[in-house]
Amino acid sequence: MGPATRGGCDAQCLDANMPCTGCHGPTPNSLDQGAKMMSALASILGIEGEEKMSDEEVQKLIDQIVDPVGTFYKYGLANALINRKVM
Amino acid sequence: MKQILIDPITRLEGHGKIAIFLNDKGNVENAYMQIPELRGFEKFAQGRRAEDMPQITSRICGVCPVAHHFAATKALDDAFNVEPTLVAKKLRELMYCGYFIYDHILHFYYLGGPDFVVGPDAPAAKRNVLGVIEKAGVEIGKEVIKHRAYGQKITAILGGKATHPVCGLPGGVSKGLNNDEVKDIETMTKSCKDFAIFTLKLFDDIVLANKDYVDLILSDPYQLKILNMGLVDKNNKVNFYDGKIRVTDLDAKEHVKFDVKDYYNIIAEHVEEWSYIKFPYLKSIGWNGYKDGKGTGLYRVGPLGRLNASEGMATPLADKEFKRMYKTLGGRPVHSTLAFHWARLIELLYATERTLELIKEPDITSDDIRNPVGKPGEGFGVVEAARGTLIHHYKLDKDGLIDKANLIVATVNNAAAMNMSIRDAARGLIKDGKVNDGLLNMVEMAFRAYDPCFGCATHTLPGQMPMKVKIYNHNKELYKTLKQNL
Repeated sequence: MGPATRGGCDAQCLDANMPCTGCHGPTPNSLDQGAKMMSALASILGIEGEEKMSDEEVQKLIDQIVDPVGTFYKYGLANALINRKVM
Repeated sequence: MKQILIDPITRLEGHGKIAIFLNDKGNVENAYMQIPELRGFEKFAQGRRAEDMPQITSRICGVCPVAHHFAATKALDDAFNVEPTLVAKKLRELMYCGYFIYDHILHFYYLGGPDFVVGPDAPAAKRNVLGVIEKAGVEIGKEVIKHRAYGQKITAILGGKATHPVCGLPGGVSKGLNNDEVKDIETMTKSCKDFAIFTLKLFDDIVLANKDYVDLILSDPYQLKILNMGLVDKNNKVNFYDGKIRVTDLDAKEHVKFDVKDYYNIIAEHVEEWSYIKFPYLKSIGWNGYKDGKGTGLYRVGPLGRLNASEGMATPLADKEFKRMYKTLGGRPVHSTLAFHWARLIELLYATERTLELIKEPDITSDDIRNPVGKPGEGFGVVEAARGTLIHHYKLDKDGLIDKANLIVATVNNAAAMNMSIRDAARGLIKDGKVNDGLLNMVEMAFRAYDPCFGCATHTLPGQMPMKVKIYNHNKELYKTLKQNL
């Protein structure tokens, strides 16, 4: 979640060989951390053959994210666009 | 009937209150420890990725996150049908000992100890760590803070972060140790070991050398004759990270020893309408109310529960202290609630000795730290949290998401015991309506010895939320009070 959330943690989780889950929440400039991260992922997901993919293949890629709300808003759901707390 | 309310109770983790009811003569009719807070983790874990559980559940508590982290990780090992590598097990136990070091130091010097060091009826403003520093000296205060931080640093080296570690994965851990880290841990732990020995000496000098305190420990209001529970290794010695759950009876004989997978057949929970906490008891004996002595199905966990439920400590110095404690207090089992403090310090020494053993293992810097996972299913995990036996139980769906989660938290296991302990202390101490701050603090000492964490303990949604809503008019006068389930 690093690209979409606030840093300042010295990348402690990455140093422990674990992914960033965004525990410091969104930056003041981002309206919605989950949307930002999805946008970041969408721009690299299947980047090599996206145009030639069928709908099913695209769906398969997206299905890899089994818990989107839990993943993209793990610590920030209380104050997010998705539940209209941020407008 | 008169009610005395201690609200909030202090020097514990989480929130609670004690209600004491006096009869017409001013003696204690009954007393209740109530937990008026609610968390709900089991509910919102549903639908989350199972591998997130070690990080989600560690947020239950800022004091024992490592306990939840590894109870969850072990439940995931089981749920994903994978056995962690030997090196991973050692690393987990090593980190776990670091957690015990800081947690037990925290309790003795900041929470429970001030009652002894400063005195049970000292002014409330002095009964805290600052009072301890004032009495013991700034130099000792510095040592306390330094060694608590060492425990935190050891967990941070292995876990990534001290308070909410991230290293636990089904089948192992995410990060190994290098030689520099091993050296750092060794230096810090050696210092912690000396500090543990110093603390036991301090306990000797301040508590055991004072006849008033020894009499207090052995006095009737602080005795509770119930069963004891704790994790033991194959030699029935105390182990914090792994083993079987052993329950011993009033004569310190084994009542049952079981694998965590069987907890449902062994433990049942009683529910009361006046608290969010549940009251576990042994199914084999049944619920017989809040009675101690023969026929009780209630048990205690935590430092004293663990020592009572075991045959000794697995490291030499701690084992010596183990024997000394039982010799001093009249043999196993010890039923005195205040002996929890002594047992805790013996465990602190054990944690440092065990860390030094593990750090010297030849393969501790190996990178064989993780085995690949199998298919998701159902899993059980158990560890000893600093305050007692902690069980996590998950059911996963085919995508590895949490379908159902059940947590039996350390403090919950002690719920009935604590309630009886404060009741007995109140009955023994409050007579003829005479009550003062010192006496009420001595009632609090009866729960404080257990080092309870109510933030961890109240995790389930009961279905009916007791609620009181007060509606005021524009003049701020009470217009109406609405009540539900009260």
